[in-house]
Amino acid sequence: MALLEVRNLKKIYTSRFGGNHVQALTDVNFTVEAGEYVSIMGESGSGKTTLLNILAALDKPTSGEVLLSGRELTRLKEKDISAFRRDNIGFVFQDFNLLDTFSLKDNIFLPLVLAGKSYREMEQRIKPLAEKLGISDILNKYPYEVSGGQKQRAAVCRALITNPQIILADEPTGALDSKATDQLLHLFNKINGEGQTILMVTHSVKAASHAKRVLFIKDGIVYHQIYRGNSGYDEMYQKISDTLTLLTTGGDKNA
Amino acid sequence: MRNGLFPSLARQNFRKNSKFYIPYILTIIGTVAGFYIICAIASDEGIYKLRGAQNVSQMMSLGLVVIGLFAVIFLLYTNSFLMKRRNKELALYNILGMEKRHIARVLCYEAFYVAFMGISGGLVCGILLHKLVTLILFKLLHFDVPFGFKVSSVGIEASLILFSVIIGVTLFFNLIRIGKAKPIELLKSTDAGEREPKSKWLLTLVGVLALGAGYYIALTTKTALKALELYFLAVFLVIIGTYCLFTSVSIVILKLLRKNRKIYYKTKYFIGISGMMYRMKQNAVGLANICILSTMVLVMVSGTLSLYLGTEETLKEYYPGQINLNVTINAESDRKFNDEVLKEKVKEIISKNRGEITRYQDYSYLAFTVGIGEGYFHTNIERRLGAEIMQVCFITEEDFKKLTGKEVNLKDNEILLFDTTGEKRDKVILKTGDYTFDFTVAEQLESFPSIGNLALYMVDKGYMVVKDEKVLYKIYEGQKSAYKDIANNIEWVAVIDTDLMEDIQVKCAVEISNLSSEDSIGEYKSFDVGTRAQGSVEIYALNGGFLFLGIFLGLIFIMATVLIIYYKQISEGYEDKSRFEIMQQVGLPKKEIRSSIHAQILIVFFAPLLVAAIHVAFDFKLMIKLLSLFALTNVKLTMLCTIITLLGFAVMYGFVYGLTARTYYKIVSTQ
Repeated sequence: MALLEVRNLKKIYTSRFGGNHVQALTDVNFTVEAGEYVSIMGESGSGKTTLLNILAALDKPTSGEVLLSGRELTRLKEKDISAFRRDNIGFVFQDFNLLDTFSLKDNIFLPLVLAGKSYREMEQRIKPLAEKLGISDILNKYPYEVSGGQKQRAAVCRALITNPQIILADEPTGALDSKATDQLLHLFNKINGEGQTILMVTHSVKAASHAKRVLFIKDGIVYHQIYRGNSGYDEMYQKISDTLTLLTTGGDKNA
Repeated sequence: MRNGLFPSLARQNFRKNSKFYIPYILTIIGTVAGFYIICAIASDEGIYKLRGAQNVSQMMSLGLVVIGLFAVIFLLYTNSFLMKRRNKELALYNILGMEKRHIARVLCYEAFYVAFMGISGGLVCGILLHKLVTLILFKLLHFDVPFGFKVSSVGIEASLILFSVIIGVTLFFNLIRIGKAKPIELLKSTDAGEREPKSKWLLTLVGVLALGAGYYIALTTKTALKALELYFLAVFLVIIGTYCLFTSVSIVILKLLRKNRKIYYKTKYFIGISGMMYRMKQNAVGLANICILSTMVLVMVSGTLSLYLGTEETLKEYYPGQINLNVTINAESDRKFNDEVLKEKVKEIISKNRGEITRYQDYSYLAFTVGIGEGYFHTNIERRLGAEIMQVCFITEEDFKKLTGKEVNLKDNEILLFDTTGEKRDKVILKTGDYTFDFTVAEQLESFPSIGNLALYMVDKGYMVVKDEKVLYKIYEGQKSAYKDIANNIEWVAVIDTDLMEDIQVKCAVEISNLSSEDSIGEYKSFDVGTRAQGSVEIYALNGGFLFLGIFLGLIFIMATVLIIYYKQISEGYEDKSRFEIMQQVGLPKKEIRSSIHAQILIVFFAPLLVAAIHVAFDFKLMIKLLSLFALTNVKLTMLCTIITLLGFAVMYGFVYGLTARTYYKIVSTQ
């Protein structure tokens, strides 16, 4: 059984007085197997963020269903959603979303504290992770004291510390310089290599080229997908670029 | 650039920032109205002509100074808050191509609009409310209410000048700020101050010491005069302590809590402690302001309220009878003052006016000021403020019996003592000039009937009962040898109650004062007749004036408190919004976030109220001492007034909090 299954997902936004309808997602279908590393690409306004929000149970779809290891996300009760999100999903955001009121360490501990874990267990969990992510030395600093790359690694650490079933990343490289971007992408490959499932939404070709599979969405549907197979990053990069060119120069699906 | 652009930009800014500007302008309106009304009352010549009103206009002038000072400080404070909020917007103008002088012009137009709306609105409200306020004031003063509707040109002029100047000064500051700042700094300055607050041990120490010292003074001050002298020092210390408490002590406590991992890493406290740390940093000064303003309101209102409600009591202290005679005896004269003759003549006058005497008491006393030495009283008083002095008063056991009905049998060197400081004494040694008196206290009394007008002297008193006139005259001689020309005389007092109407009482008093020229009553130094009916006018004018000022200033301070709370809620709201979203994404249930934030906000806003209540509790003893200077000694009444004021204020505070909290939640929950 697939880890994540998305079936006939549809989302229509209605303006407050019901006047305008905007169809963000028309009919999205895809699955992600455990241990996969999937990128979702699309232009601004193609529905990427909407999709991610629904996957994270931050938003509800108009119709369709999302199953994470067989559990129907859209049917979760409001009070269970937070706990479910905490235990099963790790987030990495474009603008890091670290709280300035906490040190990096406390930011990373946040989901564990919410889950009621003991301080000793938290310490045990953070040690190897921080080591791996190269942030052991800066754990006691505050978000405004460190660089963007360091912030993002702390955010990844926060996402990983709960041992989630899947990592959802929303434009994780969007606010990083190229060096930090490279570091982060390597990190993602590394943790994916250790078996962590990752689903990343991006419109950076470079970021997407590190994934094992790339889905393209346009006008609210999954339009196309590419598997890496045995190709290297450069080859993958080329493939993605070509597909994007095709998509933007108006290649109709049936053309 | 087009000329019409600046005014229209300024107007647009108002509309965009109405959340901030409307309360600001309302505050100006309120302050202007308050200033105008007090100014109009203080400068109203009609009031001067009323009996007892001189005090009132003096008090109003004092109130005027307070409101004026308050207006300056408060409007500058609010302005700086507003400008901080607008940095981004102004920087954007700059980046979009407006020169600084253009921005300055926009600011000038804005200031002009603010001044125009605030001052004209304030004057209109002031003029309309002036009559109502005068009615209330006169009611409190027990004055007859005048007819007619007046507009005070002095009031308008003064308000116009003062507030134009204040707004001008704020504009000046803003222009300097714009001139100095670089757009990038302005763009970022809203985000500034995100740094974790440092624990400032020195400041904490200062705060604890200042607060401790202030409280210590409040608790240990024994005499009323000392209380008056030290009151402002205590207030100053407590204010400093409050600022330090809110800015540093809170942070230190929170940091200590955070160090304790067992507590800190609990779901319940994790977000709360770190959240509070930031809130305290951002809001410490504002909260300290709220706390101090609240304390002032509470102290002023409860003090003046108990003074006013205790007026009847005070009146009895000042005027024990409906008609009061006071004859200063000439002890050196051979022709002794004959009180029996006078008594008969007074009775004649009353019955001539078809009245009957329901109470007649007369007695003699000697009172003078002494210095307090180590275990004795002396007459070498240093003429300086803050010298340890006391008023001592002697009456004979015969007169004491007349006043209280209590029979006592004292020996020559024995006395009964009532000490208003409550100090226990076995002996009273009085060194005066060449004389030394050594009295043994036979009994320390719990209370003492009011004697003469001693209540008028704003010092602590020691009342003593001596054996007879011989001892009394001896003490007089002793005092005379020390004080010579300024020595006090023995006073003879008669307290008379009748069944007559107040105006007839006054008429009788006039007739009685005509007796002073009668030869048969003997020689005396002065002869004075007063009625409670007339005295009540003056005391009500005094206490009513105090209450009026207390409430009036209280209202203005409350207005300021409300505005600060409102602004705090808004700025908290904008800051919490993003935190709220992040926490949700990390997996904190909405309900928990809401309850955590709610708890933090509650602590933040009710801490000042709590601290204010503690301040008031410590201040209570001091306040009682001060009120005793106004001859109010009813502790129960003062306690009741304080509690009622506190409860009333708390209810109102809660109400304001509830209203502004709605704005807060609206900001936080908009997507």
